Amino acid sequence: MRHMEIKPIGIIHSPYKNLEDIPCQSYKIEKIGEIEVFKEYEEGLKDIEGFSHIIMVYYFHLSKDYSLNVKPFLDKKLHGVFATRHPRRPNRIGISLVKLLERKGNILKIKGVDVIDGTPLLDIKPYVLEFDVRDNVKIGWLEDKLRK
Amino acid sequence: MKFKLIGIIHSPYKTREETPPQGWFRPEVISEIEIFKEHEKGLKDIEDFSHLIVLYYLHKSDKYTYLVKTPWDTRPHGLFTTRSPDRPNPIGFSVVKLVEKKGNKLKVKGLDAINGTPLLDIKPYLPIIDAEKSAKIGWLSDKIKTWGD
Repeated sequence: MRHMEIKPIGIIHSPYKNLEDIPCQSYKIEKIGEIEVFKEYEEGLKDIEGFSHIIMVYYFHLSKDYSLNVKPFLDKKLHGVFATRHPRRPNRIGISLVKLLERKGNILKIKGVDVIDGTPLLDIKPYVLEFDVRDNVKIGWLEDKLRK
Repeated sequence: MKFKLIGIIHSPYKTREETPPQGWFRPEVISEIEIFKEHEKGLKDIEDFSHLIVLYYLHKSDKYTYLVKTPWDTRPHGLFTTRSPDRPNPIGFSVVKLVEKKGNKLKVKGLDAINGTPLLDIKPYLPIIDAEKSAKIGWLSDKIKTWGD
């Protein structure tokens, strides 16, 4: 198997300069940020302005180690890390669905940014309702926390 | 930056050609995600979620190009407006239905990964942050609506 190496293809600029600045309830975030896709990848953005939402895939670069049991922001109890969105994961990959407001060359202006300024971008995928929206979803321990 | 192998996906798809371009095409097909024993503890409480986001390493991916022809269209589109596996960082993303958990194995429906695909991460699917019903999908819009006609 080839080495699973990854490289940043851009940088996410966000109003959050420190981890403490990011609110726990990140689903309420409507902050504006920018994805800067490095110039060499810009051609891959062709036609992206036709999409209203995109999935950012990024690297939790400030997460130094991981734990299999974590205490999420919304609970006092420990849960398995794969039953949470906590950044302390074996592979420090984060994903966020954001709204695409505008494209200017290699810069994408986005709404709903919930990452820290300077986060390395790994990938952008178009958000497609048919592929990515599910109904009748059960959300386990988060049920009480998010639906109160 | 390097990824760690934390598990393997077992699926009925043996080759790239056999694999559907999205789980959407074969929503009932069952795959099994095997998380290596040393990471099993991380699955605690996952059985209470009905849907998961699976991230995996597209190990059969090829060289990428910035303009891509997809199964949907004869016209090429920007790589980042497609879900093509040939990307600078070949990370696959699928929303799947969790059917059953047995120890370190998860039976799921609707995954589009080739048998033997390295697992990178599993996250709970949360409609409040992961579902956006008003999403506009650019060039794909007409193609999806008329697919199979």
